[in-house]
Amino acid sequence: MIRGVSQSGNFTRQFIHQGFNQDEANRIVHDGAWPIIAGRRVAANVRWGQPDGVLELYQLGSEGPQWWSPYPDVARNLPTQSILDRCSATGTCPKIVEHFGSSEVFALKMTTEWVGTSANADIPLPRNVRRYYIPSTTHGGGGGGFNANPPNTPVNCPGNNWGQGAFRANPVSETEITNVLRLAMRNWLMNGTPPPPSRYPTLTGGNLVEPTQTAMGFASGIPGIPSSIFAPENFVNPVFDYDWGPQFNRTDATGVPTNFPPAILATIPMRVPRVDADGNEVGGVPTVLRDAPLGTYLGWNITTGGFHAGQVCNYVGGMIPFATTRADRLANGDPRLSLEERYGSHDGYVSAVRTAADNALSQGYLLQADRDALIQGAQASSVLQ
Amino acid sequence: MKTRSLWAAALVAGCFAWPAQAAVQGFTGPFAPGTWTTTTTGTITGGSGGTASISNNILTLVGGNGPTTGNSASACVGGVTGFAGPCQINFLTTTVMNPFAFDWTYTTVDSEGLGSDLFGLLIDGVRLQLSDPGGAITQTGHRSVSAGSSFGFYINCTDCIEGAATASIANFQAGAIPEPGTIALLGPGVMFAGGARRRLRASESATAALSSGGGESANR
Repeated sequence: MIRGVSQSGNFTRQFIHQGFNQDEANRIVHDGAWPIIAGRRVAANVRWGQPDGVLELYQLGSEGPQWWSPYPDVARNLPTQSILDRCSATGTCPKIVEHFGSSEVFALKMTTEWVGTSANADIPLPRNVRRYYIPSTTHGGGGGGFNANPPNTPVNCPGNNWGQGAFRANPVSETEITNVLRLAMRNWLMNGTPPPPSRYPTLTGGNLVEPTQTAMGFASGIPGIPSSIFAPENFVNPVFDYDWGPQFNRTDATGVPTNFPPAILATIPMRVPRVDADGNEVGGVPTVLRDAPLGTYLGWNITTGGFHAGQVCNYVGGMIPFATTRADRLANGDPRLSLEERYGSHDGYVSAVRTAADNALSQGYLLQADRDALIQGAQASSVLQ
Repeated sequence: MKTRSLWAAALVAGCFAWPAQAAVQGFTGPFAPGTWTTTTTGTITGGSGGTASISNNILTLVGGNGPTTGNSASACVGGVTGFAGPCQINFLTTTVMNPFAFDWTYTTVDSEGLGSDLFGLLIDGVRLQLSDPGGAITQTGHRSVSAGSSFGFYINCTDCIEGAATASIANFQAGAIPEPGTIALLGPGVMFAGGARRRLRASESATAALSSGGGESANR
């Protein structure tokens, strides 16, 4: 099996796309592939390609198909293609499990994989691919736990001295779903037991929307979140359709780019998950902290200073705790219900955690051992104590 | 004089008459079992195209399914996993009484989930998908829609392997139910005019329109 995380997850997708899962004797190389927190490919097999590129301005990496099923790339005037074209032709496609979270949507241009470059239809998944979206998570997930008021320690926005983020780190964990998928992948490859069904936001389900405050349903007045963050120039990192010049093969992302910097032919429309009244994302796998929240969990942050001040601080999701009491939230003008109003007491919170955990367990997205540990963690916490 | 008398008689009659198209509750009257048409399209190798069963209270639609081969090849000739293809069961009526309102439940035994078997409405022959391919294994919702010439439901099994999907339609209603107080409040002229307007709409062709979707749930 091949497994990659973040950029190496993007490499995993590129590996498959290039047909490298077939060896010199035409045998399948990896029975399974697990790209993690990765939603695109890398710039390989192209002059000046930077396989470590993270899609900053004028970087290659989003060219060609980013999706698993054959689908037309209408917005870029390219033919119907998929990442699996080469391996499908040779019968060497692996079974694929992919999982990711909110930071990949906002920073890593991921939703093009889901809805194509026209962003107007859900691209189906083939039977050898499972997709799991963990809502309201930072890049790779947070440290977990049940802390209603984690230390407000500034987080660093990675890369290019982007500065610090305004919100404390998002604790929502991806560990539990990773545990499920590790076991599921093993069973799928070794004895053919199918993994749980895919779970991710979709246009059809109404959970994937335009990246505007109105479309998302993001309430105004949540402390620390100005409406200006939702402006297109501040919010989602978009895909640009570049003109790399006549020697560049736009269909396959190969050849020789000669236009530097390239002209931007179009901005590809992006989509983001819809949120609930608390600003927490709707759709994807059920998780305990999302379903029994202690605050608003974001897959993005806001850069506090420097060149990118006021813009999204990518990769590092934030958390905005709920007020403890109704009086607190009214004093702050916070539209979100307080912990007291939601859960009543510590026991009430533990009950909510138990319900959320049992829901995830019953649907196959949480292991029994993790379910038990989460409930114990909630019981031992100081929430409403 | 004679005309005025006729108008007066009509107005009086209108005071005591129900609107021309009273709402139909359940699969009764013009929507009773036996008035709908079930068709299957496409070819499912070694399998079934699906079934429909209906009572006065509930419609159950089961999608097509064929044998699963080891290589996950499609049993539907020309079918591709996840894409609405040739293999579909349709359940239709050409009697239109707008709006159509109903509760729906959809589930599947296909381990892939509901991305491989697609459920939705047929409005004037055009598919409107209700099932969420990324949602829970069992989904529910409520819809109210209007149609022009035909209305119904479909399940498209795409590759038609790994088990069939099942849709249930309950609390079906066609046509609008007047508010109880409205009858008393309406003046006779308005009553008569209202009936005439409804008859006119029924005879006009109209493009299908979707009203607000109501509460779909992916059973989070």
